[in-house]
Amino acid sequence: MPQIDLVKLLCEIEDYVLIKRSTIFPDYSSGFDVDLLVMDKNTAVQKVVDFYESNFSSKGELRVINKEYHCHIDFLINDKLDIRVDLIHNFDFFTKFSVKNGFFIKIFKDRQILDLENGSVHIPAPEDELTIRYFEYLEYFDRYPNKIKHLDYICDVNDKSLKKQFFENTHMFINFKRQEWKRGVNISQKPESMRMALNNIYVNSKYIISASVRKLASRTIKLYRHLRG
Amino acid sequence: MTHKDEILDILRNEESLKIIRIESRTVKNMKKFVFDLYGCDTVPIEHLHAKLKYLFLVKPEIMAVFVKNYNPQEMPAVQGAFRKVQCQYINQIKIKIRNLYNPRHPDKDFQIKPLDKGISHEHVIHASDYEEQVDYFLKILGHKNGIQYLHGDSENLPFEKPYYLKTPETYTYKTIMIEELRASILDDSDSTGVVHQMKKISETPHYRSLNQGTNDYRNYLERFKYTLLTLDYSLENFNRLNELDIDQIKEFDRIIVKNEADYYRILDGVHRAAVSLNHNIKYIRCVEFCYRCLR
Repeated sequence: MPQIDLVKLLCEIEDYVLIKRSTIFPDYSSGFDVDLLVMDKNTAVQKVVDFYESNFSSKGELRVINKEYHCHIDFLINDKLDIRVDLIHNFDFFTKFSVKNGFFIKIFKDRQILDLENGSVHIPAPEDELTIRYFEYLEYFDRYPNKIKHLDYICDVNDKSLKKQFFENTHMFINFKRQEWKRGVNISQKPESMRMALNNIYVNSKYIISASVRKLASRTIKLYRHLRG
Repeated sequence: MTHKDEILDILRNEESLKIIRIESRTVKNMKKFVFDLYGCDTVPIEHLHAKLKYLFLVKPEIMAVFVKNYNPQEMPAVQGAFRKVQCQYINQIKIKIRNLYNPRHPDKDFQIKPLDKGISHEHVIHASDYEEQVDYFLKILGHKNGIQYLHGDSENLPFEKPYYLKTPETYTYKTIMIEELRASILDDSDSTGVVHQMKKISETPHYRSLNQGTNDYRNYLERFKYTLLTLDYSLENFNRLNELDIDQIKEFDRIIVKNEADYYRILDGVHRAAVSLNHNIKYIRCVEFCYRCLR
């Protein structure tokens, strides 16, 4: 049974766009999360706190977790998560690609109003919703296989012009990061100083000695087993 | 420093000022301190030497009062090579205090403007003209982060926190029993020096003063204020807080606490908790700070 009137909460926040909206919205089940793009994170947190103080403080607690790129706000009842509001104020958290700042502005510029029974909420334009879902799939699919649902959602779109808009959108606002080799590079380097040359001698000698000892030990063990057997 | 309480009252009564920190110091070398202090002025120290000479002879004790100015009026002041920016609002307060508490001049007709007639220029108060000078002064006092030390970073939070608390990564709005709270109370009754003791609210000097009419809180302030208690505490303000209407007491700003396994330690709000308990309130609204939460 939902404890929070989500539409009322969103009306309080004002400058937001509700993304990745579930099919049962504004209903939800316990432990559910709501993702919101917000213009100003601090203002949005303040508005959620105001909502909590006037609508929820007698029922439970409000936990605010500030991360570098996100802010999670959890409504808790008896220490159990009722709903999590995830405030996103930029797209800098994507690691596999970067999103141009203009996309954030476009989402707000083109946001649409969805009328519901007890009010209205702001949602992204359809092509922006698809682009956001595609970003989510690209970033997280290797770690969270259930993110395939976002690709399925995109594939299920029949409107050809919308799909075209989505492709244009994605091409316009995404920059892929070049994949770089992050482990050590095994290239022998010419020493640049006496100290470095001596260090190289030390490291190489240590390797030769330890490799020889290992080899000798292994041969001795083999010989011993051969003699016993 | 005979008029310090009166001067603090003038500052407290200014609507656009909020006292952030008060600290008393004994200065080892007054001359050096004065020269260091005026090192940030646009007027070279050699020009000020005669004007400041009286300070070399006074008792080497200072009280530094840091205020937040909600009405800055920085304007160009002083013409020519030594021109500078000066906050006219602070300047007016400074003149008012000097007129009231500077020593009287033996010659009743003596006057150097902007002070009144008969007022000497042995100033009881010196003030910074603009924020950079506050930063400079804090660094002289040994606060290496300067203005950042007092600034805190409350603007990223939906409530005000004292400057000395670090902004937590996670904070939780909750209501807890006053019985579960502990306050860190300074104690120097041992020969080991000053220690912090965790006490239930009902055992604090704050509560005992309100509930049993003891002088514990007055004595506590007398012992530690401006040295180890550097916030602007006063018995009068505390009593005023206690005299508020019960509905206002229930609506106090949330206190700030930290969970310490079997109790909540108060980081800010001992006075509010003591007043609440004194009005038989059992639960108090708070924000719990968590600095190392793994979620």
